[in-house]
This record gives sequence, C-alpha cells and structure tokens, in this order.
Amino acid sequence: MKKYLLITGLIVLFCAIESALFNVFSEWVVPNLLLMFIILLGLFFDLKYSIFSAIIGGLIKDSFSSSVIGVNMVAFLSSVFILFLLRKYVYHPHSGLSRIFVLAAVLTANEFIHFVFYYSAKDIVFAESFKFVILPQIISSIMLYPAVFYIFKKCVLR
Amino acid sequence: MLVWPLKFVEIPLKEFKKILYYHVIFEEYKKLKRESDTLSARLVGLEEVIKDNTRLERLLEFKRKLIFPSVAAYVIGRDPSRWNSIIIIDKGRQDGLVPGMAVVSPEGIVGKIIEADKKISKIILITDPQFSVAALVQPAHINGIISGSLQGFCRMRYLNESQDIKAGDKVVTSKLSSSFPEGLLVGEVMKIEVDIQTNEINCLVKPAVKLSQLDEVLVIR
Repeated sequence: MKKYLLITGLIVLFCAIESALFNVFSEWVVPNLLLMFIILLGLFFDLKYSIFSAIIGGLIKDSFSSSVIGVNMVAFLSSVFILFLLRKYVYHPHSGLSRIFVLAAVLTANEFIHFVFYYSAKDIVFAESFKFVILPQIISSIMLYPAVFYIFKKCVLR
Repeated sequence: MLVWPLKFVEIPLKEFKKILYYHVIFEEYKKLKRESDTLSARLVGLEEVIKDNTRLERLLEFKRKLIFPSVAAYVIGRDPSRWNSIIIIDKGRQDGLVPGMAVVSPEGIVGKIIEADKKISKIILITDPQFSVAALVQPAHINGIISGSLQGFCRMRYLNESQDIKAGDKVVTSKLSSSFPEGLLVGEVMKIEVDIQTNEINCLVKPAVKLSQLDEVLVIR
C-alpha cells in the first residue's frame, strides 16, 4: 500500500512538472516525464507497478486533455505491453545502453500510438507529425532522462 | 591656526562614533533593506497591473470598434499536448456562447468554439489541423482555405492562382466564411510551397496572434 501511495505521489509530481514546463515552453516540445517514470518502474520492479502507474497517469493526463477520454491511458497501457516484450527479449539489467534503447523504443511506440489515433481524427500527415511532434518529443525526453532517473533513484530505488 | 589640528582630531573621533553607533546603524540598514524589498515586490506587481491595464484597454477599444455584439473572456486553460491546439475560456452557455462562434483578439482571429458547457467553453485555435476558415490574400485578392498544421503555423490551401502572392502579404478572413466576419486579420504569408505529388500550391501563414501568450479573447455572438 505504501509503495502504491508513493507511486501515485510521484505520478502527480511528474504530471505537475510536465504541465508547468508546457506553460513555460508551450511553443517548444515538452518531454514525456510520466512515461519515462512508468518505463523505469517496469524495468526495475514488477510490471504490476507499471500497469498501475499507466492507469493512474493516463487518467490524470486524460482529465487535463481535450481529446477523447482514454486516449492517454490506452497509449500508456500499450506502451507497458511493449515494455513487457522488450524487457523479456532485449533488456539487460546491468547495461545502461540497453536501458536507454528500451526507453527510446517505448517512447517512440507511445508517440506512434498517439499518431494513429490523431491520424484517424484529424487532417495530419506523417512527415509533418514525425518532424514536428514525434522526433522532438523523443529527443527532448531522452535528454531529460538523467534527471528523471535521478529522482527515481532517490525516491523509489532506496 | 588651530583649524588644522582640530580637523586632524575630528577624523578619529568620527570613526570612533561610527563604531560606537554601529548597532543602531545596522538596525536602520536592516529596516531600510526590508522596506526596499517590499517596494521592489510591489513595483513588480504594479508593472504587471500596468501591462494588464494596457491589454484590457486595447481589448475594450477593439470591442467598441467591432460592429458585432461580443463577449470578453479570460483564457483559463490549455491542452497540454502538441497534437491539439485547444484553449479553455471562462464563459459558456449561460453567457450565450454556442459551438461555431468566432473567437478573436485585437491582433487577429484566434479560433472558434467547439464545445460550450454551462460556464466554460473549448476553443479550437487556428493552428489546429482540424480548424479551417475561408480566407483571402491581400492585396492580390486570392481566395483559399486556412487550416492549422502541427508546426504551429497555418497553411493556406486551394489557392486558385499564386503568381501574385509573395512573402509578407496579409491574409484576412473572406466573406465566404460562415463563422467569421469579413476582413479580420489571420496573419501574414511566410513561404509559398508547391506540393510535388499533387502540384498544389500552399502558403505557410504566420498567425497574427501570439497564441501561446493569449490571456483574453472576444467571442463574436
């Protein structure tokens, strides 16, 4: 119970940081801190914590989003499923490089899930989406990975 | 004759006085520092009030110039996603707002209402790919359709001719638009692009309104 409460607290914290960053740098891309936290939870602990955080985080993000309720939750849960596959076949617990690879792969998958949804709902083209949303989002997220990993190490791995 | 030696004695006396009253001076310094900090904070607040006042004055002047009845509203929220360009305002159905109404600011058009609740409304911005409005390029007077793009700019499509369009030309709403009054500024042409596959000519348009810094808007009823 204590762990679940801590995870919920951290999810709220990452959501708040993401929103604050978006308000300041709304013209640029904001990193997906919450998804990185979910991935790290899945890599270091049991996947049930990842699924729990995907549901809670998805619900929180959906409540702030103006698109259809459930998009973020479905995207997060699908990302956790991909994470489960990558953890089983690709990830090496003692390799930092494989951790970053898994992180990049899941972040990319999550962005593609969003693209598929918005492609069906809006008049968007892949090249533009990739250049202006997907790629900058992945790069900015990976750049902020050390900070997220530091918070994760301080709060959760202890 | 005695003035010089006396002055000479006065200097150490002054220094001694300073040391003697050091704590009094220090207390006074602390008090003045506190006052200065308070005044600086108040000044920052006042500067913000002046900025707000200037902005609201411009909005009021624009509202007076508009020949259509309008409702002023504050922006209270923003969709935190790059996929959507949507904002939320603090006026809704109880203020007479319905979906489809045009939203403008003194600088130009902002978007239109897509959802109206009792007290709040969602506005789709001109930079959202789902948005579209009939517009024309001036001074060439060429008609087209403005829609958003994920780049944060607008794209003008279905242009019937393009040879007279150049970067820097103004784009305004046309009378063919059903939700926007004619002649409102949309932005200015940044670049003219040719789609190789369809041979279609598009214009990249920079919105006149700084949508990320929007605080107040007018909804045309």
